[in-house]
Amino acid sequence: MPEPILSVRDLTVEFQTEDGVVRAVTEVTYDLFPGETLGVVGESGSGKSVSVMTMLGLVPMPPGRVVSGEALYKGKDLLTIPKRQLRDIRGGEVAMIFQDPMTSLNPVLTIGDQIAEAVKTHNPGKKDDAAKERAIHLLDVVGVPFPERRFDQYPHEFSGGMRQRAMIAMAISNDPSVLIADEPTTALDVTIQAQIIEVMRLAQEETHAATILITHDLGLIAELADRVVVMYAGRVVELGGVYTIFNAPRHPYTVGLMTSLARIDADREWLEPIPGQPPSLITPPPGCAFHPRCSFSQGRALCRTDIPELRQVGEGVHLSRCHFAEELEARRVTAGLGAEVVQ
Amino acid sequence: MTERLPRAGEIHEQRDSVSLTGAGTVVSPQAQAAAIPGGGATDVGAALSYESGVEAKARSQWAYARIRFFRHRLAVASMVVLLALAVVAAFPAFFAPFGSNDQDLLNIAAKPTWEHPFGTDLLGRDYLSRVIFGLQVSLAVAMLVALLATLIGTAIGALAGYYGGIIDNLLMRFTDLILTLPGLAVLLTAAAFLGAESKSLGPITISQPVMIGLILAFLFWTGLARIVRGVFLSLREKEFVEAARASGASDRRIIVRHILPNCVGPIVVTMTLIVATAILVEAALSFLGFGIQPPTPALGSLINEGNVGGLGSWWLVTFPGLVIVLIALAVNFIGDGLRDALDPTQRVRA
Amino acid sequence: MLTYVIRRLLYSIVVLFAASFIIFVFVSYSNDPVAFLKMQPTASEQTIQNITERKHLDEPVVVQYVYWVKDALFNQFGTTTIGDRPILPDLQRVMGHTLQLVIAAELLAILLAVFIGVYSALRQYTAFDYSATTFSFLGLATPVFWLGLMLQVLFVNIYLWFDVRIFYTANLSGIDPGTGIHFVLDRAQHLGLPVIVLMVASVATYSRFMRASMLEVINSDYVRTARAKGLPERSVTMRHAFRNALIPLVTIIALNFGALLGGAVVTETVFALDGMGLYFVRQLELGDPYPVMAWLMVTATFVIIFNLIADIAYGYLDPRVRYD
Repeated sequence: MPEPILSVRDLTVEFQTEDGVVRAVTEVTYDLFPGETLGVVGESGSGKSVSVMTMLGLVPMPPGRVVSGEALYKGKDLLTIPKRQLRDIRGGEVAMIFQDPMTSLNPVLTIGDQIAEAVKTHNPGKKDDAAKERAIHLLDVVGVPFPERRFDQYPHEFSGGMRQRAMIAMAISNDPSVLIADEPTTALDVTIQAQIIEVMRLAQEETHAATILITHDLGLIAELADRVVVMYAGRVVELGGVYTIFNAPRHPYTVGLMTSLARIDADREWLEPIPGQPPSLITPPPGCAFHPRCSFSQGRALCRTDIPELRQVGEGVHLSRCHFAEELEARRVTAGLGAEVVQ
Repeated sequence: MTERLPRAGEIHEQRDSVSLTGAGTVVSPQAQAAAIPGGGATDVGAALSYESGVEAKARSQWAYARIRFFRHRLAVASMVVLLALAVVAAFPAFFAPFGSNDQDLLNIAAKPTWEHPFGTDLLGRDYLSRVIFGLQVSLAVAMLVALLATLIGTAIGALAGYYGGIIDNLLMRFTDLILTLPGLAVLLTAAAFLGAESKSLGPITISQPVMIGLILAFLFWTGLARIVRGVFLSLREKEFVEAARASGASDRRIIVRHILPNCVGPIVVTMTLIVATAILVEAALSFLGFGIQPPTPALGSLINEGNVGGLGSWWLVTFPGLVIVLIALAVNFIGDGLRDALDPTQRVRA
Repeated sequence: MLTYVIRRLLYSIVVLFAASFIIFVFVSYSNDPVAFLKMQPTASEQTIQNITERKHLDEPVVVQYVYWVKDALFNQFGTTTIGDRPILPDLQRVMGHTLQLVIAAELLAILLAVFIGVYSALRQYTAFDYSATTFSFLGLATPVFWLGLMLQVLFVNIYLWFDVRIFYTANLSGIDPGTGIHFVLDRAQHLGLPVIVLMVASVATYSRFMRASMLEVINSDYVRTARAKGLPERSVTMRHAFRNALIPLVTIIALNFGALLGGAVVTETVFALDGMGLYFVRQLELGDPYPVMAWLMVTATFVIIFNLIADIAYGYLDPRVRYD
């Protein structure tokens, strides 16, 4: 078992707001291994973005606050190293791709300038020409046609898909060891999404980077992820390999997610969403945060009083945060996406 | 047509999502469609349930705004101050210790004392009383200006934004015309040539201060017209307008009952801005001698009188000016509070 | 781009003509320029007759307007009704003074406001921020002329008590101000107070605007991306945030120019400065439409030019808005 390149342990992040203290992330724990793609799944507000942004120091620290935890990258705790070191790592060894490429790119600077800027920041000696060459090469790699011409164009002259390609180019410009993609396809058309997935696969092959793929799109997870982390209300509720998560989930929330998927091959009249609303992160429900919406709880007292531990269920690395995870083993879930199921 | 009755969970969701996300001026198209009486969903059950959901929402929207407004202590304090000033301005004879023209010949140009807290002017008149009477005139004119400018601006903006095309073009060119001319200068010109005396149109006599008010209003409506037009342009394409039209609502009804309520926020905020500006501009005009003419006292002309008398009697200049500053500050704070209250998407202060 | 500018200019000319016509008609109808003279017992019937003929006062307004346009375009705006004094030289002289005042005030105001706005945004909710906001509110609520008067009161009293004249505006163009540092000091002494007074409103407005703009930009996604790239904070602030935040301010500044000239009117009156504002007020009091019209046309032209500059500058700074 290789060493994880990134190790998050018990990360807890709070935000001070007018309405109270928001616990965005609570005791989040997972590992990222070199070369793999780790999918992080959850609804809006589940804390999936906040956890990684905190690690990179992109969350303003008032009103945010790291209550506890550590994020070890190659042995260094990203949460406590001096800011200069974190800046060196950011954009260099650990790079991030954001959700909306239109607003995530500076409208008054050319695309080429922005990519070259990323190159020059982490290679201080590099001359402008060399940086420009590298930028053009990167644009070519991600599949932007006529990269020399495109270098001098502005973001508003690019289409949505191309902008995202440019962002990916920017992210891989310094051969990162870790690539974090936060909802990379959510703001794009479905047809473009497929293209971007391809580009991301390409990028991974080029850089051999470990990837954290944050999304609420289960289809994307099925395509790209090796392992999956499921988050709910700021906590990790399930963690395991992608096939396991899809075909044999062991947490009621994950089961609900899989059941709610629309399927071409299933003959159903109604979609089955998970009833209810996500909980408030200021005053979360007592005990298990999911219990008000959980059909497996059946009103059992334990769900209402004790927060479940994240514990091993099944073989291999498969963790679940449910008091009654074992009961789920007995159920056969037929709503997984993988056509070929390897048990 | 198979219409599905909304399940109990869905209605609950509608209400829940409303309270979770707070107020905001974005209303889902379906809810809006259902809110139009006689329009929208053909399913009575659905319409009823949606409507009751919307009603709960409508109440909470203004309630939220009220709550947010009262969180701004400065705005609330300003409201109190402004209310007090308005009361004084409404009943000047009651509050002023002396008449505005009573002369105390023993005390010409006297410094402030207990008997004359603001001192006396060059004719021995009690300055506090003069200021109070001046306050009445200035405040009244400012309110008049704000009201008129709002009416004109809203009407023009609504028409331009709703109908678009040629009407929009014409109205906007007209607005540009007004905007091209340097404001104060045109005001001065207009005031000098038009507003110097009261005019009588048949049986109605328009007093001179009102003339000034009219002239000011005529130049102040442009900003509001732009804003209202913007809102109309963006909302005109939304589904709820189409739905209203489909159910037979007349243009007038759509404009007034459906789109206009969405403008209330920016309109109110701009109106407060207009009041503040009007006070300042009217004071400037009166100071230069082109605004409200004597013997009607106004804060600006009081300052002018004080200036003319030489700068030795500082109180003649200071006190009316302080009152102006007070009013303008209060109105600005209120406007700020209103803006925060009615536009929840803005950053809230810590 | 060129066609756009030309189109705008042509359109502006049309607007100018329309505006001038409306104002001319309005001014002529509501006012009789010889009324002042007619009230003087010393003015002879002959004088009045001459003036009426020269200025075509007995002909319909439209005809008068045409004569005025002719004068304006080919005869340097013609002459005043009473006294037959050429308008343009006077106008040029006072314009020079006013421009000194206005340009100095604006430049200083911009520098100060940008600094205050940016710093307030970066250090939000600190004492600096709160005091800057308070100052802005006060600045916007204070009538310009009153502030001028209060400052004068202050400095007059300083003169009375200490016999020191720090700021004064008499003799603005009388004594030769010299060159270099003497020029600067002389101007500062003469124009110091009016410049300060003019600056107050501008600084208040611009700094609030700058702060709001900067705040909006700082919280934008692309600034987040810049940080995520590992850029040093300074580069993020200057290259990414500030440049973008500046753009709307440019428009506001250029558009404000028209209002500035108005403010100058009041300020100059208060300080008895021999500038455009005072000129305008005096001519207005006399009720003579010719110089008033000339003044309005010149000012309107300035406003139009500056609006155009604002749009061009905006297009230069923001590539999304290029006009082709």
